Amino acid sequence: MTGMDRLLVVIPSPVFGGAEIQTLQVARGLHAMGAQVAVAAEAAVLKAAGEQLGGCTAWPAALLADETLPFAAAHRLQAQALRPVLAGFRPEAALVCCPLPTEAFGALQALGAAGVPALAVAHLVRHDWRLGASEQAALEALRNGWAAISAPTARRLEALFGLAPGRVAIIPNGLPPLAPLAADRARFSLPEGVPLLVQVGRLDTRKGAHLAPAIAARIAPARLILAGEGPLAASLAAAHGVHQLGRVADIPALLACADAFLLASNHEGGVPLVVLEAARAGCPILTTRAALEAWPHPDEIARLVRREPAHIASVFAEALRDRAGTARRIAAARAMTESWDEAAMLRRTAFLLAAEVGR
Amino acid sequence: MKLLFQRRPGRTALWLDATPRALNLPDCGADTLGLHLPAASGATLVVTAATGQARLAAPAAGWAVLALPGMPCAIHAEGPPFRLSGGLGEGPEAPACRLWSGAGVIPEAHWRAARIAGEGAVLALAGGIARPFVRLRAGEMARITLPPMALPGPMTPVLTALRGDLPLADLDGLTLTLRAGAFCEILWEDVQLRPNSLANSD
Repeated sequence: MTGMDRLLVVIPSPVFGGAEIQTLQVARGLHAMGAQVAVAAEAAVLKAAGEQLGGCTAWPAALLADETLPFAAAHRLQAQALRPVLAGFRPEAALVCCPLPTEAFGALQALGAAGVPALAVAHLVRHDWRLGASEQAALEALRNGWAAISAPTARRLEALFGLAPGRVAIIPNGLPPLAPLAADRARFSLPEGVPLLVQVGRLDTRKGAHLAPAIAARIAPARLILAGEGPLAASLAAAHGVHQLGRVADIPALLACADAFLLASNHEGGVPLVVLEAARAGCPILTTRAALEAWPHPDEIARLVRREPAHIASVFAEALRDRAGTARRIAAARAMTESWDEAAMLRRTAFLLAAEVGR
Repeated sequence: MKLLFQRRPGRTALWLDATPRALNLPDCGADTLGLHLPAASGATLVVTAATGQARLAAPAAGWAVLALPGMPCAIHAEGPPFRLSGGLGEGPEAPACRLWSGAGVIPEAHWRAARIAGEGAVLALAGGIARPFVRLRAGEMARITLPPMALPGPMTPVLTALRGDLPLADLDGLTLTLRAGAFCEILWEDVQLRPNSLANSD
């Protein structure tokens, strides 16, 4: 029989965002199943993770080199940074978070050299990316298994890496069940008596945060609430009608206060965790088509918006007006989160890891 | 299946003989027990519960898994004494063990005893269930056989494609034959009664 009890989770990320939260969710789940789990990441990421590490052991490691270094050098430094962790923890298998497809190549090389079976999970893969010569050479030396968080992401990773169709497994995000929460706007110092449109995520252009002032102007007297941090935080601070909360730890409680949730992202790829949280909370979802590409019929669970403030404002108004259409989408979105939940995600991940051990 | 309780195996061991040894486990509603053996034994492991006994002949090294007739009270050996692993940090007085609840039609011990013809293995979740897995390339065939047992009716296999698409599958008794048209990695997760079977009609 092939099993594993000592699992290393590697998170070579500069920030603590959705991919990292989802990876820690899996790490905690595998720990709850009985595995000993260690998490290797930058000290700042481990600090930001805080209680989300659960019973997992934190192993600070300098996995990210200076961005100015060429790929091969950064790759070598990452491998060197992971080696003490491998010597100290002696994992039987490793789960490696890949926020970007090649971001963990150094860690994967070190795991391969140490004979530790690894499953690498890709979170974001764009169709227009191509590998450089040094990345291609590094890829050819890797022997780990690959997975991705959605079918479109998996197919793009196969195309990017030149893998045969079907070689990248799919592990969609899943959430544990949560009873509906009561709205408590006072907890977040949010205004009463006006509709709230809530946007959660990094405050950058890719997530659509730059649209916030124009959206706020068009939905007034409703308010636009931004939860998250990022490079646009300072410039948005003075924007009229935009209410910034900074990083919010309890997203379900915030979504319980919202009249709708907005994701104006142009990221392709996946099954965004925050969309699942909105679906589970019964919060109407307004999102771009790109953000929901993993679903074949996204308009059944969400109202689709273009990245244009006027269109977002009109769709928000429609969501408030068309109660039957909104209720139908809320029910479909909730059913979607219940049909593939956290237990299913953990089960799939654990068996894929065990399959790597037996490869 | 859900893991309810566990004591990880440490480096100590205890000898189990014909004298019943109390297990002192929490009453958590478990219906499956795992005990850890550092080496295979030709003896029989007997678990006594308030409502009956469960037996496992010739347990292999590693986790020996038994379906329980109730919460286990004590264990003993029939035949020559053999060793059980002690709990990690708790020593030999507390044998390493796992308790699960929610067994399906086929008990956990059967899944663990699967024989696989082809490339594959029985995979175990960290502290939980084990299921047979095979890797097939285009045109390949594999066969998974579970030990014989009485089934309540005709069954359909529940398969998951971890990679690739599901192959052709044929379940005859508890022997599953898979034929792949393209590369795939398949997990045999469960069985379910065929929808039109008599056993499923009441």
